[in-house]
Amino acid sequence: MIAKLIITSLFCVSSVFTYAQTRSCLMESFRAEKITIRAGFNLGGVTPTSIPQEIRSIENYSPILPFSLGVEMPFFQINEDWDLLTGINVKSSGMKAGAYAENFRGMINLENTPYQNVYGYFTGSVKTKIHNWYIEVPVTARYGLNEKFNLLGGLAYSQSVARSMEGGVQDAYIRLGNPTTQKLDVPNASFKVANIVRKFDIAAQLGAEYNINEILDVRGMVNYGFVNVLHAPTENQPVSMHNVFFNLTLGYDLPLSR
Amino acid sequence: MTTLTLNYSRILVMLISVLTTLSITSCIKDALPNIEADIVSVENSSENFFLEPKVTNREVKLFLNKEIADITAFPFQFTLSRGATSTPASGTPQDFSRPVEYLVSSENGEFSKTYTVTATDEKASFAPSFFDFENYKIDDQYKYTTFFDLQNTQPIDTWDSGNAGFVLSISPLVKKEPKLYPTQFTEQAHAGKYAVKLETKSTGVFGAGVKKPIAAGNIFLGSFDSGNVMGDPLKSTMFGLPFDKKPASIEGYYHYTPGAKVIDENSKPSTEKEAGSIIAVFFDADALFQRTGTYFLDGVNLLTDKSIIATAELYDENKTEGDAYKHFQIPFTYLSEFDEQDLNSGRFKIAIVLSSSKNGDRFVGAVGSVLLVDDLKINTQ
Repeated sequence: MIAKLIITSLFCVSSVFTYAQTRSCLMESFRAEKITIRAGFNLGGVTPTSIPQEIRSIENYSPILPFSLGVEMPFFQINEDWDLLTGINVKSSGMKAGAYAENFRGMINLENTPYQNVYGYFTGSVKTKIHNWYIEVPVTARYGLNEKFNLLGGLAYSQSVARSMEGGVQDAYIRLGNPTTQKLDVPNASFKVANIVRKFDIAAQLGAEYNINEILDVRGMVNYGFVNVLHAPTENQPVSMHNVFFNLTLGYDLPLSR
Repeated sequence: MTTLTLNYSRILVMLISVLTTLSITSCIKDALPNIEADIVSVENSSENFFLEPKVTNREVKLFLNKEIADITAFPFQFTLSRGATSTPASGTPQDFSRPVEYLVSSENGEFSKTYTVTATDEKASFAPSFFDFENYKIDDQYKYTTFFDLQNTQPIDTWDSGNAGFVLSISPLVKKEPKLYPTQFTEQAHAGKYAVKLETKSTGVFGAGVKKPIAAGNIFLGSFDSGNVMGDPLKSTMFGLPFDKKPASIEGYYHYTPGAKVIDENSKPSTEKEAGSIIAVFFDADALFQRTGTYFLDGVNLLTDKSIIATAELYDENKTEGDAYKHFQIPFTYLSEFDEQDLNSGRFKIAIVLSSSKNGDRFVGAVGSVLLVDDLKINTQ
C-alpha cells in the first residue's frame, strides 16, 4: 500500500514538473517580434458554391471598392517551419453582377395582392449589387517552404460593420403555380434587402506568400465563407450564398522593439 | 368605365437574391430539361396574314390572307419553348375551317398544354352590330367568364374584361368560381338564355392598401392585356374593334341595382352618387395610332382622346324596379367630321364599355352594385 502511494505521489510530482517545463517552452514560443501592415485588393463576390442550373448566363460582373487593409502579427512559433499569425483586417466585399435565370422556382411575393409567398417560376435578367464591410480576425498557420515561399491556411471570423444589397429585374416574367400558367410580365421590380445580409461570417482561407525582401512580401489568399450570407427563409432562397473572395495584398514589416 | 384592380406594380422576388453570381462563366452548367410548354411565336411569313397572329397562353388566332394561304390546308409554323414538342408538328398542313387543337409537351415531359388554334380568312373582321350575350366560356384554371360572339357560326373575339387581372385579388387558397369575379354570366336574361352580369367587388385588404379598394364589374369591346396585370390597370385595357358603319344610336336592355355604400379610393364613405354606365365611343384608330402608337383607347383616355368622333353615354343611378329589364336607346353625339368613304378600310373603331360603377376608373363605387345587360344593338345609318 505504501509503495503504491509513493509511486502515485512521484507520478504527481513528475507531472507537475513536466507541466512546468512545457509551460515555460510555451511561453517562449509566444513571441511578437514584428507586425505587418497589409494592404491590397479583395476581389470576388457573393455566390452559390455551385451555380444552379437555372442560371443560364452571367451577363456582367464588376467589383465594388475591392480593397482591404489590416495589421498582422506572428504570435506563436511551433517549430522551424511552422508558425501562427493573427491580426485584424478591414475588408470591403462588394460586387455588381447580372445573371439570366430560366424557370427559377421559388417563393414569390406579389406586393399588394393576396399572392404572398406562393411558389412560382421566374425567368429574366437579374441585377444585384451587394457591398459589405467586414472587420476580420484571422488565425493563420504558415509553413515555410523555403527562404522565399510560404504556404498559409487558416480560419477567420468576420463581423460586418456596413451591409447593403439591392437590385432589380429586367425582361422578366413569372408564372404562378406551375409552368403552364399565364406569363405575368414583371414591368419594374426592384429590391433593397440589406437587412437579410447576415452580420457575421466564418471563412476558410488558403494561400501563398512570397518574400520580396526582408520587410516586403506579397500574398494571395482565397477566402471561402462557410456561413450563408443571406438569412432569408430557405423557401425564398433555395440556394445558399457564400463570400468567395481572392485577397491579394502587399505586406510591410515593422519590427517591434522589446 | 372599366376599373381593374391591378395594383401589383412591383414585386419583391426574394429568390432573386440567389441569382447573384460570380462571373465565372465556366461554372454555368447545361440547362435543365425545359419545363415550359409554350407556343412562343408564329413563324409563317407575314404575307400569309392580314393581321398579326395573336398568341395567348392557350390560344392562337390566325388571320389568313385568302389570296396567299389556303385555310383548308394551312401549314401553321411556330416556335416552341426550348426542347418542347407538339402534335401536330409545326409546319404540317391542317384544315383550319374548324379550330385545331395542338398538344404541346415540355422537354422534360412533365408538363403539357393544349392550344386551340383558330383561323379566319374573312378579311372583314368587323365587329357585329348586335350582341346577345349568349356565348361565353369559363377559363380552365381560374374559372372566370369570357363572352364572345359568333360570326357565320365561327367564334370571334369581341368582349373582354378585367377578370384576368382580378385573379390576383382572390386569395390563391380560395376555390375559384365564376361568381367570384366582377364580370359573370347570368341566367337572368332579357331574351335567350344568358346575359352579362357586372358586379362591383371588393379587392380586399391588399387592394385597399394601394387605394384601389373596389373593382367595378366591367366588360368592353376589345381586349385586356392579361400579361400586364402587374402594370397600370387602366392601361391594360385595349378598347375598340373595327367597325364599318356609321353608328346612329345604341340600344338594348339593362337592369341596375346600386350597392348600399359608396366608398372612395381611401375606403372612406363617399358622397358621390353610384351609377351604372353604358358608354359607346366611335373613333379614328389611325389618327390615334399616329399620335400615340396604339390603335386602342384605354381606361384613361376613353372619353377624352382627340381621335373620338362620336359618343353615346348612359348613366343610371336608380335601382331598376322589379325584375324586368329596362329598355334604352341613346343617340350618338358627333363631335367631329369623318370621311365616310373610309368606313370600309378598318380605320374606324367602336368601343363599348359597360360598368357597374361609373367612377370605377377612379376606384370609387359601392361594393355590390350590379348591372345586367342584354341584347345590345348598334343602330347604323
